[in-house]
Amino acid sequence: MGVNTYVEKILQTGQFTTDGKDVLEKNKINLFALNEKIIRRLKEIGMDNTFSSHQEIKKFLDDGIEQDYDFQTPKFSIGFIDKRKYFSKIQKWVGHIIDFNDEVITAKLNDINNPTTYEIAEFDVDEVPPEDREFISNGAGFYWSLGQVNDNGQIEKKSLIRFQRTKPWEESDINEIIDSADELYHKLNNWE
Amino acid sequence: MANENLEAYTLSVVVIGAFNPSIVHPFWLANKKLIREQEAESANIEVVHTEISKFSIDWATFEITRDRFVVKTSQEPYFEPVRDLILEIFKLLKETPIRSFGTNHSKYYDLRDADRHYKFGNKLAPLSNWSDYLEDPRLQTLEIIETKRKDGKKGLFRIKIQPPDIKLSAIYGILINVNDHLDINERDFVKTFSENWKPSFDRASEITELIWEKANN
Repeated sequence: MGVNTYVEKILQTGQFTTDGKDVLEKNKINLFALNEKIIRRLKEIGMDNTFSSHQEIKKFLDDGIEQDYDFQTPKFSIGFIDKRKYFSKIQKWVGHIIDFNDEVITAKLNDINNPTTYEIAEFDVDEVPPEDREFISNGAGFYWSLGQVNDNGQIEKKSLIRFQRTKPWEESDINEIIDSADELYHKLNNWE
Repeated sequence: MANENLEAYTLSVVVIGAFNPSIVHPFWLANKKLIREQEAESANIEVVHTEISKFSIDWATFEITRDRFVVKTSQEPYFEPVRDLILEIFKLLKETPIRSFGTNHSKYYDLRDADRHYKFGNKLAPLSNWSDYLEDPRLQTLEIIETKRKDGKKGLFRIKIQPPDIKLSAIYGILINVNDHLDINERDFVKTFSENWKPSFDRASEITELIWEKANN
């Protein structure tokens, strides 16, 4: 039964008052309408491939119910990505701290797009976002990017630092690396 | 060189498997220290439901259904943080069965003038083939699928060329989408995703560079 039919039935039987007093019935319809939108959304994206474009989420057809009655059912946004904000002319590095004190971090930087050489650079601790400062330690990894951001047509230069939020290695990770090294060692030994 | 004309680069990762949408929530991510608390507090939560979870933080958008897990970002500096985030989520949810994933590279180029814009389409799909039936035909969308991957892995590459779907400062822009799809064994996601990350970017770059060369020479 569609949501419109449901509403019609309620109106015919008089179990629902349109003046907004019957909160329970209204919630029921809200839930029904939300579930219907979710089912429709699930059908729409029920593709068994991983292709994805920003136009993926199409506009949901309005049931007309919101105009007729004084309540709103949730709607999914049309866009799935902030289309007004994007970066260009980016240069990105991955850094690892080699020394630090209360004011300055010294790090070894590798260009992500061209990781053949490295550079040593110093950063003020003030440049690190407060919530990332707990990660400052020798060997800690972070990403540093320089580029232009186009935010709703306004172009500005930006420098971003973000610390890696990865969990420390577990024994299984180390065992996996040892296994890979062993495998490589055997391959090299059998190399003629 | 395609890179000199690259206006923007956005990324999305689509994972196919069996998920529990209501688990993945901004405060769950912050609680696991995968994002900043402030990012969770200012997240835009559209819906968290047993069937679908959809929310965005400043640099990424998440949509999780029972069989599809999608993270997107339009901000290139956050590509690596997106990779780390996905890896850490599935290290935590290590029992999640995953059967395939796709890395989607969306590259937006500026063709600078109307003539080059026309020639780009005309070179890839000669418009003279259509001039008997259509008046002044133009290429709108072109989609090509690889039937067997060059690297021997199970999956495919899908390339789609279309008009930009974001508002660029460039007037004569195009979008080249590269979908790198891999089918995997259920428990291999973290390892395969991590190992495929750089090769995926290299191949996307190689493909777009070749398309650019062919269409502009």
